[in-house]
Amino acid sequence: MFFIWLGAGLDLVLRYYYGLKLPPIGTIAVGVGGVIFTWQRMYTASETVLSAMGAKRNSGHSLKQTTLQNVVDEMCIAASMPRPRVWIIQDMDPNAMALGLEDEDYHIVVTEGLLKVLDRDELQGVIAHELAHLKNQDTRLMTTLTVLIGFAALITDIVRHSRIFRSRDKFENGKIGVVILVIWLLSVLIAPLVTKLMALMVSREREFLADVSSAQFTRNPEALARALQKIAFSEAPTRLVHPSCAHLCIAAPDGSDLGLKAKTGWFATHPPIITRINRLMEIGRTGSVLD
Amino acid sequence: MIGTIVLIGILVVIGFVTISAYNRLISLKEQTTNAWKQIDVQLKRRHDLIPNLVNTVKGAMEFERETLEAVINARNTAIQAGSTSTPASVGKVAAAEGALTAVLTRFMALVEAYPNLKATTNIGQLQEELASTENKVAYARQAYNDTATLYNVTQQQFPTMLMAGVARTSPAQLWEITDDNERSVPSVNLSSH
Repeated sequence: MFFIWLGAGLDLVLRYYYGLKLPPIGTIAVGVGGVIFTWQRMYTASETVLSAMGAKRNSGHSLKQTTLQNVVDEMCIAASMPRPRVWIIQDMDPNAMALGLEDEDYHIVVTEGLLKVLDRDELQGVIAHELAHLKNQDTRLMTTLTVLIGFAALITDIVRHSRIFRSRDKFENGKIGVVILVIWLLSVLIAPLVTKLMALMVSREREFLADVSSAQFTRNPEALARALQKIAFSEAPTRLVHPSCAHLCIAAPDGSDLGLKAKTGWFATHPPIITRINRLMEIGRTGSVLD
Repeated sequence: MIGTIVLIGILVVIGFVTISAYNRLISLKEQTTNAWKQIDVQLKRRHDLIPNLVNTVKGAMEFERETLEAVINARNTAIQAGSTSTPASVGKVAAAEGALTAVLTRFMALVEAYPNLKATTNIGQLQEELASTENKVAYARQAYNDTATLYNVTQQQFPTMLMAGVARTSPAQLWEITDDNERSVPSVNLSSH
């Protein structure tokens, strides 16, 4: 839909500016191009993100790494789902993320720091949270949104830099066309913002859901709450995670969800960590989810 | 004319509800069977691990021959009980596996009491492996119980209950702790060492 709308606008530009009477090549070109672009980007997205962070496959050489692999296996059994691939990145700030679109392409990434500060039960809670993201298909949705943000930004850049819109007098020959063109232009300019806000909204809701699913798999919500506390107390930002992938992590990599002055509202990628901890403790106390 | 259309509409809706109820029951039935098989897989893993475990510590734990024998015996009993397992005969398997869990817990506590055994580096790996195996069995049971509960509830809910006969469903038994040994916390007397 989005691509066809973009393409239709390009057609209008061609028609009114250059006075060309062409078949709707813009619509078709951008529509098809957008779909191919999205498709291609989505299926290479995991590898791109993994290599950008310098992630290494978990070799299971040290005791910590064996434990990590065992914990992932245990949680896969509890969640009745296939085993994802497990990666480690050399970053001392504790954090974790999940990636992937479908069964064969599921990845879980943890930082060196996470393995260092968490005990077995806490690690289990975090891994269960990440597996829940995969099981609830959040990563699929988030990857799609990430790619869409990229594409929208790309088109906006092209439109902004082109000289087509400098002279307005060429548009005299069709009032309705101009109105549509203005609407189109506006929608193209705010598209990245809208997709971004959508992604953030989804991200915040999904964090709560994954916390609850984690509690279901481990039957130990307090452990995840403790893990979140530990993650919150190590204030150093996760350097290796690019801001554009922030919504994939268990806690905001820039630490914006910490403390009493936690970033809330429309632009936060994560709900405040304190709220999440409180909700988990509530589940632990009552044995049920209250909202 | 309108009457006919309304009638067709109602029939279509009923047909749709019937089909989806049937499919849901069948899907849950299969998931329950699969979750049950998953417990078997994990139990088999545990049975395979035990001989290795006993061999590793045999030298250092000569005084504990009784415990080691108890572990081996409990394992063999559990294998025997498991060879004829179906969701209907949960009780017998659960009792045998419960006994095995109890001896293994006692055994792990004993390993803790042997400093020279703990000093060797790979005992950490061994403990991790054993702890993980126990967890895997426990989580496989949990997943089975969760799936079976959902299956049982769906069988009794409207409108899926109307299709229960056609889909040939029957309530699945849950995995419960039957052995009192497993329920109680094992007590270990360390003063004799």
